[in-house]
Amino acid sequence: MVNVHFIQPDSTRQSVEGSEGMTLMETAREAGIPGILAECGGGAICSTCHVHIAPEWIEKVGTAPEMEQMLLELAPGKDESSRLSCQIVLTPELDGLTVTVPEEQSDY
Amino acid sequence: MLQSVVIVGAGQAGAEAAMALRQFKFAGEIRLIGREASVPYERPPLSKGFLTGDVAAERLCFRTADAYARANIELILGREVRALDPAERRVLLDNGYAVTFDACILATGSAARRLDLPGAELANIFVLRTIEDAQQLRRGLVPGCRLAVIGGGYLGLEAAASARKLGASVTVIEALPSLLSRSASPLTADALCRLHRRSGIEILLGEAVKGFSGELSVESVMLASGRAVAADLVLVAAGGVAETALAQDAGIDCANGILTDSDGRTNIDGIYAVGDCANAAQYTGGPHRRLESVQCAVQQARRAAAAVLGLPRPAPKVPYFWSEQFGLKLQIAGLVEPGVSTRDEVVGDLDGDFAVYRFSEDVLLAVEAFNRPRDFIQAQQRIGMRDAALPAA
Repeated sequence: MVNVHFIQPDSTRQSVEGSEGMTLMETAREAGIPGILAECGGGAICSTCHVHIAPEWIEKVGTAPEMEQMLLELAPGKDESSRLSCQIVLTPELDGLTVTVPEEQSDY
Repeated sequence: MLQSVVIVGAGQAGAEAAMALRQFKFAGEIRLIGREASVPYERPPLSKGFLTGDVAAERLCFRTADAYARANIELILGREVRALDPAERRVLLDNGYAVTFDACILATGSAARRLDLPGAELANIFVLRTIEDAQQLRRGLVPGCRLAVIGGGYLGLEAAASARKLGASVTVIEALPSLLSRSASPLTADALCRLHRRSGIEILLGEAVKGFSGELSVESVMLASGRAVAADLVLVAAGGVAETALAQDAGIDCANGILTDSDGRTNIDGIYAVGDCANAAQYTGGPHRRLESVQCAVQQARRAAAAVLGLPRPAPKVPYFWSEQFGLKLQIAGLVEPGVSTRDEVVGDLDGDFAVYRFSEDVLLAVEAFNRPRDFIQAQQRIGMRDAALPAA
């Protein structure tokens, strides 16, 4: 099990048990986390599963590769901590990962 | 007061509508009724990774049954809705139960168009819409088998590419003179045609099917030209037909789908329609449009959920589509309405990676990017713009 914490824009916090090999997006979807739309189903062709990685986790999660960077340009509120949650595969090293759900996604 | 919402149809649109209602803080009862036994799942992989066996069935489901239970969404699966009674505000199920509602969202989807031709009842003639359809087709796809695909649209081409990967000998039969004639530029359609032919798939254009022959199982597809295509398996991929029977019987206006406004409202108060089954007015005031796409299903579902609850609606977005063949991605942003003539310009190599930019009177209407995600991504911000410059090749 890999524990993940989602913080909403209003600061409410939801902790979810994910499993190794699942993506962060799939984990959020399963838990019904609001604000992560994943409109394309994880194909890395939209940017509606955008999240902000907590500063202390950025290094472990890593930065977005070039194509993901381009998709992130479409995401409102994009900054250096931005990633697409469908591109983050949970590993034991990510146990405790904390991310913030943005105020809005690109179609909302 | 709104206390209960019933959603008829548990595909992507129905599942999204249910979850969106909860995420929008609706606290009343939500019932999601589906004909198939499975919890809602993604259909796009059925002709791609699921058909080739690369994606397992469990990976197709958006969420587990537990997730719906936690969200307090009641799943009523393996049940068909027989009638919708707008006056009594209830739907009647095939087991005789009635489910009442304050608001109803129809997400009945689309069915595969069947061919009413001699021999259509023979065994091994398939359509591809459900997990079960895909499993049946896959069982027959052994190396060396002969598959005839009727219809050169996205579904047919994706299935053809997947079958080829499994070692089948594949013939695609298209009645019109080119592939994808309703959904892509001639340049992209021709490029995909050449790609399929290079990959060993036979493509027959301008050939109408007049029937099937065989004893118990199909043995060949008979063409109007007199030619016969030998086949052990046939996939009919001749488009989708909106499932409107329930709505029509309930007195809801339908024409190529259930007619709705841009928020999904039908002509009967409190009844909405979303996804493949809906022929919706555009936000921009353009003509009604029925789109069979994931993005359309998800956006309409979220919009209707917001409308049901009287909340602000999400802003509209450029429509996009994607297809995958031979592991390569075709991504399309924007849409060219039927009958609109365009000036199409190519960037890249039509026999490699390319993008087709489609303009009408200098306005960029659509970009088709084949293995060029950069063009697709950038296009999303440029569709509708005047004098959009082509990127450097």
